[in-house]
Amino acid sequence: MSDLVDSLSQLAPLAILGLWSLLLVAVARARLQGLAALHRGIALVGVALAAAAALALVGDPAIDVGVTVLGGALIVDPLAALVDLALLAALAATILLSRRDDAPGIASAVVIAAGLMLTIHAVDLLPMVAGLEIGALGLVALLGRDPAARPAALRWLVGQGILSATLLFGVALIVAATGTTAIAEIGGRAAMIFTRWGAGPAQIAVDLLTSGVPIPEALEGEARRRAVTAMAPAALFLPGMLLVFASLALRFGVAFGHRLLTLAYDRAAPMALVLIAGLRLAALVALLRLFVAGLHVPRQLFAPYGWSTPAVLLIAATLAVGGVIALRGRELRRWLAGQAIVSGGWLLLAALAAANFYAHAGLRGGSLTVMDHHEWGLASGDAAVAAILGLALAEGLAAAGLAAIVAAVGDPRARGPLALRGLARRRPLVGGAAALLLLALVGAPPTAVFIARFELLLATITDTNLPVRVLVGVAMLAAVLVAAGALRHLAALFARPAAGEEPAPTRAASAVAVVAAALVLLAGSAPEVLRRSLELAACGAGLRPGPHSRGDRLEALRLRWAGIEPAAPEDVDAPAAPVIEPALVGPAASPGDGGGIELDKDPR
Amino acid sequence: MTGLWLLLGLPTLAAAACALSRDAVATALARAAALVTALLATAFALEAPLGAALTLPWIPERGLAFALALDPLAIPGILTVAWITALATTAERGRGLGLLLVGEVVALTAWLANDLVTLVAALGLLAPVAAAMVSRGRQATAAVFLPLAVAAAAVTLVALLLGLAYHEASSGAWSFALRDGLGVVLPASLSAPAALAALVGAWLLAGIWPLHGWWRVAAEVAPPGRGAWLVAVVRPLGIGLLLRLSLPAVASDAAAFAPLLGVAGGVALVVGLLAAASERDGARRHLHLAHVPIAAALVGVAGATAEGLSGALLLGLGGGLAFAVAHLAGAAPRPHRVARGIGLLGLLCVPGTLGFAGLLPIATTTLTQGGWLLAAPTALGLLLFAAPALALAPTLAAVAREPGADPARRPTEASGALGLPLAAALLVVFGLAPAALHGRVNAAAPAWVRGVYQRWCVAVVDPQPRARPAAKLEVEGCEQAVLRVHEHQRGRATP
Repeated sequence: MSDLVDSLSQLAPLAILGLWSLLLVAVARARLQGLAALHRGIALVGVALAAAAALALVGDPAIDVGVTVLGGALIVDPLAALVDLALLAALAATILLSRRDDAPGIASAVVIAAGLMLTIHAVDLLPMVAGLEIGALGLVALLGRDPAARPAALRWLVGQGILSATLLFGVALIVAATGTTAIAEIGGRAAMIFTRWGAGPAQIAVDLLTSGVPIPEALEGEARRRAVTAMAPAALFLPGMLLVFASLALRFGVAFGHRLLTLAYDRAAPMALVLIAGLRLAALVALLRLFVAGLHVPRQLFAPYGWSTPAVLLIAATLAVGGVIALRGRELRRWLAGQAIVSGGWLLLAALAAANFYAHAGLRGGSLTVMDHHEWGLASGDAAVAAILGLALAEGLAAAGLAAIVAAVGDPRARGPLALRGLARRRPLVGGAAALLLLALVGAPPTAVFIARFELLLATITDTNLPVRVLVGVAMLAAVLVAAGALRHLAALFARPAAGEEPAPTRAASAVAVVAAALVLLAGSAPEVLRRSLELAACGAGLRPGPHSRGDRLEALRLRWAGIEPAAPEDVDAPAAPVIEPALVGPAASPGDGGGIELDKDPR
Repeated sequence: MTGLWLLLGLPTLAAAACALSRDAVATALARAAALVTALLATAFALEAPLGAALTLPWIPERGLAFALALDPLAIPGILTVAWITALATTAERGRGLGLLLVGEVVALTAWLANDLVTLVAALGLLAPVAAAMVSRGRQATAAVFLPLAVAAAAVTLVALLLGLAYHEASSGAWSFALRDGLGVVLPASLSAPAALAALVGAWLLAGIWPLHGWWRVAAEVAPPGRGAWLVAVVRPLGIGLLLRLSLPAVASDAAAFAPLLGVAGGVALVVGLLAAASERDGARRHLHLAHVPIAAALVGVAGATAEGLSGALLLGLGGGLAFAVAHLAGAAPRPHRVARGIGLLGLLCVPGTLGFAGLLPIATTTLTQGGWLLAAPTALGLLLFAAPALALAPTLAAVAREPGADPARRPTEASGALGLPLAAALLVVFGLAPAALHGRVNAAAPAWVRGVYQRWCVAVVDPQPRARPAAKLEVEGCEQAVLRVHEHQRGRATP
């Protein structure tokens, strides 16, 4: 019992939000006349309490190395604390954008946020999937609140249902192959699968069967049994891994899943539009925890079996598709969807680079000592993860602010394609904020997105693999297309509106946009505070949670912040054995190597 | 430092005030601010101590800062921006003038940037500002925005690679200071993509043939003042970028770079002259002649000599000013034939104009150097000796016959009365007495040439797979070789 209480105290933001979601659902169900008007206030109190709890955790050294709770299913670490805070901010904006008496809508939003928060804290496949499903499928309730948007909500439901089925099937295959749902265990067990596959008896059996030499029937049967037994887990694991990767990435809004995103952006009410950013954030964290931190052993990452090959193709397609959508986006909502898709491509590219760094940490020497190489790989991976979080938060903030104001001015079909035409002339403050948010989303200085993109590019380009570097170029060109698409909306903001067509965003939407613009500008001009939070959140992301693995790195980070140089090793040139986590150990060569996109070059 | 603050702060404040004022007040404010900034810039460029700097830390741990400094090589650029903005503001009126002032701040920041990220930020803002200046039709806006945005992206890539190289060379320290980034000898793995990106960025920004579409569109579609500003300010910025970033950054590939630039410059010169000679519409002739100064500057850069360097920078200033004068004079309802004639002569770099003061050292060094490149000396010879026959006579004849511009696009009367004669006079006065500008630029040119040769020599003589700081390298043979080249360029020794 005391363990449960301890766990709940560590998980205070999630626990508060979970309780509040139940409370709000109960109140909404009761349909009490007196409470309807108070519903928004009640929800905001819950969000404020959860935010206070999350704020107390940000920067708290007690959770530096990651505290696992509820039997290791969930974790409380700096990454989760930071993303919790961002999600709660999005939820607060969502509630402010709702109608005061929209009890079902507000309750749905809180339930969705609680589900997404569950995913953010999950280090086990089951809560990860459960939270994501609550978030993705729960959004149908918000999308469908407007009768005109119900067909779109239905399509969203069908699309997300297919992705749910894919995700569950993939998870089932992974569990069948590895026998565990714990993310920290999956990488190591998968490495063992490949090791067994390429190990002596199985390989001898394969060689024997493929040699063409006549062999006795009994021996052939035994050889087949051994070969199949050794290969079977891999045959389950690989499709499972790729299915999970595909469903998470598609939910994140990459190419081929982008239709869902454009659909939602085209039709969603302000509340849903902001929470979609939250859903993407949770999917990103799940991708980071499972694939970047968990499945970065070379065999799981590189060609021919690893997830890097589909990732490279998916990133290229995402950047191209998103760039074209944004360039052609006559409606601001459609442009926002294109921008979000391109942003997804950037983030996935950095995730690929981060996994590549972690994969190589400690595995190859080159001209560095083994220990130096190990440290370099981890540091570069951490920098890439920090950059991913930075860009996701900065762009999420700017996109949420702009989405709120766009959605609040009404149906684009009624107002014409340039929804914000004349806003800057009619309301200079709100129009200026919208212009700033638009400029931020195209990466203009000195906004937070500019800094975040620069950090992300720097982290990614450190990886010298050709596909990654080529994709960096493609990403920059896609960003140019997004910026070109933004020009017409920027010009429309300052244009003279036709009589009777002046945009009139609600007061709440205006407030959300102005606050978002101010934060984006502040975080870009003085980025040190946010940067430290990001560094802390990403420190040791490629290692298992716990003091034995992450402790030294976090201690060194805090010493560096305090201006104290950590003591240098006595002799760095000595052939020291690197401290390599089990998840980092590369497998022996296995059959079928070769082919596919070459991404297993040393990224240094 | 105060000068730098004033130089950027005054137009910024004026632009903000313009946005909040009525049209008449905004016009007066913008014109006054542009004029004062031009005077300040002239005084600052000619009198301020070289190296005067302003640094605001951004992310110290990453070596990012908003850093500006008075680089001697930027002096012609600062004058170009300030003078042409002042001229362009006289050609328009209303709150839109604030945009020209914003453009001035961005362009000045790009010239003064002493940090790669500051440069990237300035170029990143330049593209939307330029697009906003055109803002007449989707296609025209995209035609201007896309090349400039791609140029900014290319420069971003160069900045990242240089930062990465410095990180490698310094064993883990981060810095994006221009001096630090350019003080590193790049390995081949970084040098090749950096060279490509640097060349693409500068080429697009300078609008060198055949990637010249954007400024033609800008000049034809934008209102006259903004069109003149875009062509006359942004293109020299491309030459400055080539000089201050592209060529030093990829010194190890300079041997491959230089002939390419020289040939391209030569071809662009010929194209510009022939197109101008065959143009039937006299009002568009200056658009072809605008190729000439930038192409000649390119030849000067390709020569990698101190004289060529200062000549190229003066050509940027002279060419920009001449284009602005010719463009605005031609767009006036009653053409200022004298000013337009001087502008066109300036574009042809005839003696007595600022362009000639820039062309002469380039021609001298390129023609005497000879040998390594055929196209550039040929083209320069063509410019010096055949230009009158090819383009000058028909151009001047056409000026006399030109009708007034479309009243819908006319600039104000005031611009004709004050701005154009003054600008034309500046073009001639500095053409006759260019020593003040030459002197300051020449102070930095030899060191620049020496640095480029040293890095090139080190990269060729001692290729390494990792980035190294150039200052700490003493590769046998390079010092003497560089010294000999340097002395030969100064005409004090025979090779």
